[in-house]
Amino acid sequence: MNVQFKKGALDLCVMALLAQKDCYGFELASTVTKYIDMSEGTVYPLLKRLKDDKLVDTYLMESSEGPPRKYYRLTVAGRQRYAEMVEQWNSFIQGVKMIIEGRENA
Amino acid sequence: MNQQEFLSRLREGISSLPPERIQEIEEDIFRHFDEGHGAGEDDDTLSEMLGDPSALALEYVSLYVSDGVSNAPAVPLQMQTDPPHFPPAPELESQDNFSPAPAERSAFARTGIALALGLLNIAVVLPLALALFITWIALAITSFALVFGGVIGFLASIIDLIVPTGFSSFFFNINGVHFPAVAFFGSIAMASFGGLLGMGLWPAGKSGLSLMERYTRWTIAAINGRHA
Repeated sequence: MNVQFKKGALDLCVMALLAQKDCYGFELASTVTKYIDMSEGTVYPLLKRLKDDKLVDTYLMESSEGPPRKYYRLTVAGRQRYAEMVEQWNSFIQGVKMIIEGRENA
Repeated sequence: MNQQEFLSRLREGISSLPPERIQEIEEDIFRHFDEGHGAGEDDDTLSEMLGDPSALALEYVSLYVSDGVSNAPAVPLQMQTDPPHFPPAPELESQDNFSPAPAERSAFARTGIALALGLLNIAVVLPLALALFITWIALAITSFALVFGGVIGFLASIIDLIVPTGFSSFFFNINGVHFPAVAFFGSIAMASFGGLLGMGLWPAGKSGLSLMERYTRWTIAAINGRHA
């Protein structure tokens, strides 16, 4: 699948997972790659960028297995951005679908 | 590939980033391996799933460059004042006539300004600079020719004054009639004029170069934005 497609959608996917619950890195990476065929590594630069943009922040939490884990969570600005992105995504997908199915000529 | 190999190959690719950033990245990937081990995965599987470390490094580096340092508020202050990829925008000297570039630019603005200034530079500044440069070269050649011709003419007229061979008439004659005195003073005037011209051209060329250098730095500063 086209890499650009994936990259564009990946922001949304990661933010969607974080909107459901706070996650640690491995959890995010393995969940995304379970559904989308791509390298797990790609998630980390993305998380860094979201953190730079203050859409995501991190905190440490003890784990039953091994050292404390670094959890990622959406900030208030992140939630707001996520809501906007979902809206944009839906209208984009709808538009693409209309064109693919040739309905604009019907 | 084990964890050490993966991390060292990643480290190679991100070595140009600021040390704090490198440490953060290494820590994230280190954690990934840790958490993966906790989930029962081995190094080989984890490395393979992470993908090519060089490609990952490239993503980190391009992220840092394209995001820019200026619009990444979470980046520690030290990195903002000391960006590794573009040299800090030069301080403009006080005698500079160009207006100072604004303090901050987003990546998008930088691209736009770079395009606009690039067009301006190619369409206007470059031809102008080229024309001035060619003029300068022509004047320099003239100056050199005047000095050279003057010195030869002077020597020839001296020889003529001692032994009237008419040698200098080759250089100085009026309607085929030769005036040794005209040749003598004329050649001195010619060489002097050439010398003066050359003396004027030298500082003019130097200030032209420095103007060009300042303009180039201003362009870079205008594109990157200045870190106030």
